[in-house]
Amino acid sequence: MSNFSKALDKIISKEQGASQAQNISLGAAGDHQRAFEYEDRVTSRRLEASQGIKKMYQPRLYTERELNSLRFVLADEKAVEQRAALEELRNQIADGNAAVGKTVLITSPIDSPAVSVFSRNLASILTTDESVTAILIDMVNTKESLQLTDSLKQPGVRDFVQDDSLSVKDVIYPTGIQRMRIIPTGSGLAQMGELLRTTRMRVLLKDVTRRYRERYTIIIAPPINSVSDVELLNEYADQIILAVPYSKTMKRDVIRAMGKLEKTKFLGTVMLDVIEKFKTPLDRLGLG
Amino acid sequence: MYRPEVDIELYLRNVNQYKWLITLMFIVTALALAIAGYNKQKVYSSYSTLELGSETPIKPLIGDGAVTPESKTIADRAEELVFSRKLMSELARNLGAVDGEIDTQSEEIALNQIQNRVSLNQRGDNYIQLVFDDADPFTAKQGAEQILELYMAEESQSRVGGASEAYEMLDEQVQRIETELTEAEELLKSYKNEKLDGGVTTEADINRQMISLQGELSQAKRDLRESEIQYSTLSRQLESEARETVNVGKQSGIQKTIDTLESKLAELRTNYYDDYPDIVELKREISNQKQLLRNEKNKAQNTSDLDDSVYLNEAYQEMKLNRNNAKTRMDTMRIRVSELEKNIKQLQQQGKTVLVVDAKLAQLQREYETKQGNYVDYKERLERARMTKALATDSRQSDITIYEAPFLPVSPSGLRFMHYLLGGLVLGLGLPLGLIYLLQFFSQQVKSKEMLTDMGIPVLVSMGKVKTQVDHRVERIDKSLRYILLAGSLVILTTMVMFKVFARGGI
Repeated sequence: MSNFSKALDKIISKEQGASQAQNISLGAAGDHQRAFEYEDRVTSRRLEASQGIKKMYQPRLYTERELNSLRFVLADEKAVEQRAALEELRNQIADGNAAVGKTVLITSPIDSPAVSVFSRNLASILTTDESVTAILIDMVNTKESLQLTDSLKQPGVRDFVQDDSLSVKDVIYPTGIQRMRIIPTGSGLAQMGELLRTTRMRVLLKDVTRRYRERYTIIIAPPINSVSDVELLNEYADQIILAVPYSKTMKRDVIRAMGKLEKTKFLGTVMLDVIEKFKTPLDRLGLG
Repeated sequence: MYRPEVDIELYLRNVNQYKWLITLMFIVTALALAIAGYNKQKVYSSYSTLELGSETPIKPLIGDGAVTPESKTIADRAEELVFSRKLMSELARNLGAVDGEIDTQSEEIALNQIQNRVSLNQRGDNYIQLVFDDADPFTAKQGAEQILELYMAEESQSRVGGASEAYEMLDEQVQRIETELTEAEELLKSYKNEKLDGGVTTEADINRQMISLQGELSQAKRDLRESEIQYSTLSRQLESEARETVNVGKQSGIQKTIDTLESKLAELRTNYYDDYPDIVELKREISNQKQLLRNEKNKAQNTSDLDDSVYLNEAYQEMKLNRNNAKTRMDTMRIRVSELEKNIKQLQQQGKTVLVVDAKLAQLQREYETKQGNYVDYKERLERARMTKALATDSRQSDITIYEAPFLPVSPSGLRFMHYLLGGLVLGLGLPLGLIYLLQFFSQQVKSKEMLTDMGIPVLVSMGKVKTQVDHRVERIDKSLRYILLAGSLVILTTMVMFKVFARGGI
């Protein structure tokens, strides 16, 4: 959890402490009154945030066809299970406090485009709430991730780390999803694993993760088994998710990856690209 | 504990994942086996069944005298005989596959083809089948008849030859052992004559003599000891008697003087007082005499001097005679003991020689008995072999009877097109499914939530692949292609069945 989130929780707990003090004198009626007041404050804060968010620059929105070609999970009946899974995951990440943004590190034991697709879908599902935004920091240069940016030449993480003249806002781009921004991998030949040790990378992560309290930051990290310095990623992440591509990951890769991730922040694993089971005649008749 | 081998859901996912593998393996296997079955030529088999080791009518009359081979041995020999080059060549000639001797390569190939059509099957412990396969049922029957005829002739010849050979071999053995036995007997006899008639007694005799001599020696030693004691006692008695005789003579003289002096003293005391000089003198004299008597008594105990009086003593003379006799006996006993001891030593020396002779004799005896046993054994075998030979030459006494004669087969044998067709369908489906199961069992790939939770790693959600419109289209094409391939292969199979039914008259 970022320092910002901790500070906010502190304020809320103080408010709750004050209300408890009042409750002693007011009794049951006081409880309700205090709860209403708290809800009012939260709602007003979220309204205020959503009003500000509405003013975000949004050049255009993806059409349904574009969303489909970019492998976004659509709200149709073909992807009911996937959407339900993403929503369930969103709730687990929010942990009852959706209005407060968090930094989620998504990595996998092996290199797979499915991680990029999953991350963008997670970011997308998080931004369905109008009071929060999401930003993807893409550290993996895959075909799938490149599709979200307009040009390959747009500066991204690599450029920011290597070019001191660039500021953070220079590498943040809007996407065709409302309230969703992206920092692409960028150009350059430097290995992402080596860049993770630089001060500029620290500056980037610090700035992005702590600027807005209602912003979710999704870091798409390179395959964890191919990175030696994982301290920075572990430090800035509030929660860590290990994406495990189905039938491509070996048990030993998962064990090795688990050894590199910080246990206290580890939320769990997500199995991706799971193949549907073969439908037997019984299944087709609804008897399976 | 997660066990992938019982995870049905994972198995169904694997089936879905490897559906192309299943499809292709099914098509290839089913078509390959169907084509193989379609092109397989019909084979007709004719065979004869032989009963081995059956009892002949005469055998009970003969009893167990004749040696009959075990049925297994007959079966093994049957295989050797049937597939022998001689029998196969004869069969090939009889069936017209070759003419005369087999010299050329093409004839060798023809022989090999004939050999491949012959088979020998064992049915139970006592039955064998001689089978001949051919595309033509009549040829199959003819081949089976030829094999049977050739085998029976060869078996009979082999049996007679074997029995004669065994008889001759045993006869030679009996003659050799007989010679050896005679030699052993002669050797034993001559050794006994040489040693036992030459004075060498047996170990038992030596023992007997030794016991007797030792008994005599003990008796002689006892007698010697007795004689020595007797001699020593008589010597002591003789010395004591001599001393006694001498002292008694001297002391009696002194005592007489004392008595005379004391009677004189008593006479004087009647008239005089004791201080009378004669009385005083007499007292002194008596005292001297008493002293003298005492000295004499002491002297008798310490001195051995003898005087002539002793030799006149009769008791002394008798004792001396006895002592001399005892000495004579003692010397005799000593000589006897010495002789006996000498005899015992001689006997012991003789005993050592006897042991060597006995060992040699025992060895010769053993050799003789062994040879005798062998001789009896071989003689019995020779007799049995003679009876076996006699039985072998008589065909009525054969251990092999024809249980089932060759017949004309009406339906083809072995696997037919239908079996290949069904086998291909079952194998085509079972092989890939089994392969997938094995893959699931041994795979280390992460394919289920349970596998991760079993490792202590929580699983938040699992998601299928996010598919685009293109993906869906590709999937549809993929599915159609599979169905087309499957349908195509089924059409081919059906066509083959139809052809088989209508063109070739059955599947």
